[in-house]
Amino acid sequence: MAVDESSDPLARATEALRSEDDGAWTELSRTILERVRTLVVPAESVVSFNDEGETERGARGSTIRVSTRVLVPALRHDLETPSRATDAIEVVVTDDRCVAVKIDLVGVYGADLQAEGDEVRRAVSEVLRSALGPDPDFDADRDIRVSFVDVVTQDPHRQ
Amino acid sequence: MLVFGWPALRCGPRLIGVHHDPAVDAGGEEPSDRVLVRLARLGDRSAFDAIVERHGPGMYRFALRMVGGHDADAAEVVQEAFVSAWKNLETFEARSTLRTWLFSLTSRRAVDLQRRRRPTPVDDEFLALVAPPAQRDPLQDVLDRELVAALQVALTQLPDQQRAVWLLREVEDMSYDEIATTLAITPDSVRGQLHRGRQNLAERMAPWR
Repeated sequence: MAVDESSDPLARATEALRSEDDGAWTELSRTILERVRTLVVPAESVVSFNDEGETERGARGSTIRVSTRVLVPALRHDLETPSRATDAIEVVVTDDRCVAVKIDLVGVYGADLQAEGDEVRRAVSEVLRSALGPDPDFDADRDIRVSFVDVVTQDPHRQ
Repeated sequence: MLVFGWPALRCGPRLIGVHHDPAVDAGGEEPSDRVLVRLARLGDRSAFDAIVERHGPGMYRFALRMVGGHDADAAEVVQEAFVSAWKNLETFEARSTLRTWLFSLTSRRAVDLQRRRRPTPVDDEFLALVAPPAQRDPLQDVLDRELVAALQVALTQLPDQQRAVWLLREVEDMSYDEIATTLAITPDSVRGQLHRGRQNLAERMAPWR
């Protein structure tokens, strides 16, 4: 950048500072992203059930567990539609069992949130049954809580 | 908040008004910062990648000038700031914007690193005694690079907070309120620090006139 020698040197230097290119940023951003990818997301493991609603399988009583790290993206995948976005998903685990699922959603202004809520509850129930099997103590009506925490005027996936 | 507890339904106050915060909306097809934070909290690493790409260049520029222009130190500061951000996304509150939160993480790490490298803090009184202005007439060979280098030297001589305030205002174009949030000080303090920072830097850059 050409320097305007007639102007205030601090103003010129400030302008030069603002217009500096990113320099080493491109390479650094790769390093940062790689470092973040190595960080483990906290998760819990959830015991699954066989068709008889039992956790122990086979003669040796083995169990199959599914991480909440798997459950949360699966839930999100099946919950999101153009008219609603997931704000938060909490899988509550007690004694290795999924005892509740709390879903926070962002909806679109004017949508039928009651109907959306019903649909979400059904979708959550199906994902849990598919991933964890039939837990006889899990009551979808009681243990799945769906909350619309916000409504927006446009695309909830962009706003 | 509208809660669908089965069979009961409850309706909270947030549904009454449509929440729309243009400060965090990126506009166009790009997801807003708020959406990116939401997705990153759900474990979506590509959303966090987008946060890094969106805010990283400014954070790096700020960190570079906070740590005396040393690339490696700035890289360390920004990397640690983003690692902290990833680990603490749950604690991020919408009271501040994502940008001010990320810059506050950057600022704290830059100051920590500077303190480790330079254990003696510099205050305004001490500042008057150090770094006399250059004696040569710079008008003959002034270049941007030299000008920026001179500004970097002058910045390094400012107290940490004064330097941060000046950079956030003059280079990152933050408002007084945003700076106050970023640095956890009052807007009045921002005004005072900015005034002193401008004065100090103007004195030190005067020989380049």
